[in-house]
Amino acid sequence: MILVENLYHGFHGVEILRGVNLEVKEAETLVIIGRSGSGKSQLLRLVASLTKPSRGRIVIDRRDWVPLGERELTPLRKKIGILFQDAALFDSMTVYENVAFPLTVSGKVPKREVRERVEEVLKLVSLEGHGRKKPGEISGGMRKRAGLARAIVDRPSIVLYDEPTAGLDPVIADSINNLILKLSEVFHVTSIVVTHDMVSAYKVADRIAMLYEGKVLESGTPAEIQSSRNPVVEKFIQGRSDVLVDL
Amino acid sequence: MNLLLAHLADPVFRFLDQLGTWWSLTLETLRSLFTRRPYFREIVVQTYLVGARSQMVVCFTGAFIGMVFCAQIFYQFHKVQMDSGTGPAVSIALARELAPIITGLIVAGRVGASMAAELGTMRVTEQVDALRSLAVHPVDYLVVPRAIGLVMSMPLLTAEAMLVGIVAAYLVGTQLLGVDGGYFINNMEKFTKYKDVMAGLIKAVVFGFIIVTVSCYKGLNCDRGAEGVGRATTEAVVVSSVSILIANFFITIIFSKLISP
Repeated sequence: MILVENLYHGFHGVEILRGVNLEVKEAETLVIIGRSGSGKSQLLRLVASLTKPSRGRIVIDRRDWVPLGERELTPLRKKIGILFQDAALFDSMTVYENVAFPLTVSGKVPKREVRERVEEVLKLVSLEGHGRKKPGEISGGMRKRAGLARAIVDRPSIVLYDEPTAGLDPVIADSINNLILKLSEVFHVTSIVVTHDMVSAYKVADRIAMLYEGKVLESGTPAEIQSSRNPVVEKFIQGRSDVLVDL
Repeated sequence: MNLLLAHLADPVFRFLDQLGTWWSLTLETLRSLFTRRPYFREIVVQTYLVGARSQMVVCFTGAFIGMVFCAQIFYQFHKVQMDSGTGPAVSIALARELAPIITGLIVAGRVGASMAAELGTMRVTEQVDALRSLAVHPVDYLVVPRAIGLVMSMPLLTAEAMLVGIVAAYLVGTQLLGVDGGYFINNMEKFTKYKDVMAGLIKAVVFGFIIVTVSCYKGLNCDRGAEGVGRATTEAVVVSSVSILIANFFITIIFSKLISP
């Protein structure tokens, strides 16, 4: 379970998150929506312990990780897999080496097991036969899937997705959505998905939370969010803007 | 007045902040070096990239420095009929100062720039965060192998530059300028001491450590975007080069106090 309590965060003197409270139950998928610059990705980085908040608590498996130092965070990070917005694959390695990295870096997993597990996840994300290619030689959608394979190869109990469908065509975006659903159903992982893509949000979410002006404005099931009477939520999910452009 | 003071104080605070961050990285690197399991594969890769692949340029530069220094020394010594002093003057200068300094500056330009650019790109494309998210400390995986690779390679490259420089100087001195080969070698052996070579090699180790910590610091702390990576790369080369020259002065003074020059 993930519990975020009264979280504050900002940079250069500007507070982006101003008292965020969230709870994600085990095996649940929470989708965080909000406008660009609302702090969604920062919230994800905070949960992943990649950034320290200025105030607040982040409790994962009954332990507050905020006060811990970089090296003490290792046990937490082993529980979490992250799909970064641009996949963040290591350029110098092949797709296979990238996916195998979480297993090979410790030097403790036997080579045969590494090969089996990498082949298993590459198949899961439909990237069999692309293991020898470098990240620069594959498409954006394939990079995302390779990034996802790397995030899940060590079987984390929590997976965080930063804009998993951004910049992808609707068909590939849907395949990513199906993967998120599959991971949730088959491996019972707890997921947080940050996205602008409402089609994706409705498809994968158990619950949706909207971030607005540094706080969670509204949260609920996809159906509850769709029927929300809050004008900010309505405008966002319908993609309406009040700004008129004169031509 | 307050505005003026704030304006003047700002660069000082920024410099102190950067110095503090660089020092933290240096301490973390030393701590990791002695307390963490090293990534052997990365060490081999980095030693090859920073050491083996720098050989050509270091040897080439060492040869030309040796040749030009030999010519200059010869022209001055020839005026007082001390042609036979050319050999030892060249070898001592190469061993104590020229080889380590030239190797340091060449490696700062070639390897330091590449390290800062690579780590900077990794930072802006979230690859460093990806490493952290996979429970791998960036200092252990990125900085320590580079530090070991460079600190091991620098004395070897410097020794190569010394050797190639002396051989090139010998060829120029004997074949072009007419210095007697026997005197050249004999006087060189007589006046060049073990401690001269050691002083150069110790300097090389210090310069290697300066290059790696400055370049990794600049890369890992660069600003976002292509401009940030570009600036980090330039700063890595400039700061490393200036630091090498400053460190060289202090090491020379310390050595002169510890061992007679």
